[in-house]
Amino acid sequence: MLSMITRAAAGAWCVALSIAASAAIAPATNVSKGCVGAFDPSVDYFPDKTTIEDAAIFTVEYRRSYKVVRVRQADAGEPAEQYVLVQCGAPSPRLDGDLTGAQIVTVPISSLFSSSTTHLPLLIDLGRVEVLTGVSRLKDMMGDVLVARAKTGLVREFAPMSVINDELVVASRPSLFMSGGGGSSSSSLAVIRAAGIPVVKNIEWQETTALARAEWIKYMALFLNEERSADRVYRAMKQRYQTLSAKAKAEPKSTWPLVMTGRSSRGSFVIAGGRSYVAALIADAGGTYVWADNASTGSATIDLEAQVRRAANADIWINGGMWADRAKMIEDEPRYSAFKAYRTGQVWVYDLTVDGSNDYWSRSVSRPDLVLADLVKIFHPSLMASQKFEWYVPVPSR
Amino acid sequence: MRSASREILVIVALAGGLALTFLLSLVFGSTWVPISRVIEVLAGRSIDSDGAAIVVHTIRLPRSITAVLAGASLGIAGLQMQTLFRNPLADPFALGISAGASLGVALVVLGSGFGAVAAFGVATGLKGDALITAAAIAGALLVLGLVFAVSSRIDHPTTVLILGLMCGYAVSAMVTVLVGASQPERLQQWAQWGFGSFSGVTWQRLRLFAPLTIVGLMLAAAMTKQLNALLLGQNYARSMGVAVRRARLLTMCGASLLGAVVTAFCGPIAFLGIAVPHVCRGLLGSSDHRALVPAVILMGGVVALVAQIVSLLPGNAGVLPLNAVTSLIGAPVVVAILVRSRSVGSMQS
Repeated sequence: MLSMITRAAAGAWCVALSIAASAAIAPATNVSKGCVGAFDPSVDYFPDKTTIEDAAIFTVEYRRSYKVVRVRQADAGEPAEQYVLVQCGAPSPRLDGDLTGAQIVTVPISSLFSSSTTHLPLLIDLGRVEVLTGVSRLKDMMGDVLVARAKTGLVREFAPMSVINDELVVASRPSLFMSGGGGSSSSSLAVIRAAGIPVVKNIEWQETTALARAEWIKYMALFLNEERSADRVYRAMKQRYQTLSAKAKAEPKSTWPLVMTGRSSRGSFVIAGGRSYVAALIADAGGTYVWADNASTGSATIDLEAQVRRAANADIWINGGMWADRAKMIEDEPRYSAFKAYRTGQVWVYDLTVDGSNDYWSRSVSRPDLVLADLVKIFHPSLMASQKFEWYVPVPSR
Repeated sequence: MRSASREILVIVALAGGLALTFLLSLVFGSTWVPISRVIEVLAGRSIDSDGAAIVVHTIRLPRSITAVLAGASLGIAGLQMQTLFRNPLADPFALGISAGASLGVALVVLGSGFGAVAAFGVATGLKGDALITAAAIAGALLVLGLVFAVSSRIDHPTTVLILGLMCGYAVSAMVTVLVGASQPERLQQWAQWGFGSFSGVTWQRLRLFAPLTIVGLMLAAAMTKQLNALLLGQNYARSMGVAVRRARLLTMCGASLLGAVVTAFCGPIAFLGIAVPHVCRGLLGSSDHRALVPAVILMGGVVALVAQIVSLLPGNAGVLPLNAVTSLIGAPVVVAILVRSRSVGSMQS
């Protein structure tokens, strides 16, 4: 009896296999380059599926031959955007319901125009820099890998003066244009989209925790069918982040330093909001943020007077301006001397340069574990005695 | 005689209003300091324990003094320009001053990679915010020099006005190019400058700001007779024995000095300069500069202080851009006064 069932199952399996062989072979992993051959509607073309753990702004749903990606606009009033990512070689699905009129993108993409430098390290981490064919400005491509890519001459520059050269973009026919979501360029984006080039938003900067921002590597991976690599990179990074954070948070509360942020500009302090990813990083590194009760998720402008009252006794001051030394600070704003962190030399900025360049802005988004490590070393030096700083340096006294 | 007593009444009321708003601006801030502490600090006998003395002495007091001087200066500069060009729409920046100052600041904030900017910094020995102020003054003077050089050959004031406007447009275009080419991180500092602020002038900077503005204000006060004559037209002024060309040049210099200095220290502050003279003409019911000049000085201070107080209203320590406040609260007031008094017509009579 048992053997009969086994035999029947084996037979059925053989039949299934022969059908697959005659129509299309189900891929064992996502196809990250090129198209699939004969299309079979019963085949799942995306065996590697990612799940989103921390990011709150985008979601993905998998169908057999396409993925539905939704990007919620954090800005009030803007509707969510839907993108339908169709496996190359598979037919476009019929779109109805809330997907009517959704942007269709054929994946995996083979060429990418990107308008933000924060997208570029994602390509490095996924090992797919070769798809990059357009950036806003070539001079913003920093680090060995990107400099080498720029030197190939295969990357076009489409907005050297902030204005998108839409003709150049359209003529280059990239398989995808990824925008940073800034408002001013929306008319250019409409032109590019109307010309048949898919335009998608990458608004990782609207996420409110560092991990959520970093998880947008999975978003980039969706367009490259690189879910497996993205999951691996993100999981390892998150593991390091959480281990380190747990270690820092285990320090007794009495040793947590009081932390302030920002710089004064003509009597107004631009600080990190209390619900911003910077505030979350401070807490994760075992620090107490002076403006933890502030409601802003981005930066906030605070009256200098309020900052003096709130932060005069802060132990540590991070993320200020581009100060060469403390004398220059006081030339900028004599009232900095009201802050204890200034007087005790505990002003830290992410200005550490290697070979004359600083990649904090482009790389810190995908590597919050490194930002956290720097902060823990500042807040609790004994925990990280042997570690080197990645970006942070104290502002020197002279 | 009735008109003279009205003028005195208005000026006395404005002086009282200025004293009151000045005190209010020291008491109301984004944090709470009891009035008794404020008085202690002003009297110079406060032991600091909670930062209240720092707040009142190093933040609020210089800020309020700056607001009074800046408001008075912009009002007077606007009055001078309106009288000079006999144009109710003229303001302190009519000759392209703020555009010139903006270019100087943009070069420092956005274009610090340029060799010429670095050389300027080294040559003047200035750094940071002081360099920004110096660059703003240099930019304003550059544009003014240009306008003066050409205007000395032109007799018609309106042509000079148009010249200044054109110069302003050209310089603004250069600023736009700089903004387009700059790094996003630097743009915030640039945007912040454009908001305008009285809070950036510390005691140290007041030592330069106060004398410069007071000289400009005194110049205006000394020229009320010439201004009255200019208001009636150049030919009439000439027949009254006024050296028209000299009066025109001095007025332009004085107004430009005031506009340039305020812009350099506080950023481009909109609206005050154009509105305060109109409000004062409406209140006084006359265009006699002997009453207008003191009234504009007092009213400019009041309006600037009120705008400063309102800019701190959003609560939770937030700050509204000063420029937004001056225009938002000021525009309806001016419209109301203009509709009631029809004073635009009276300035040209």
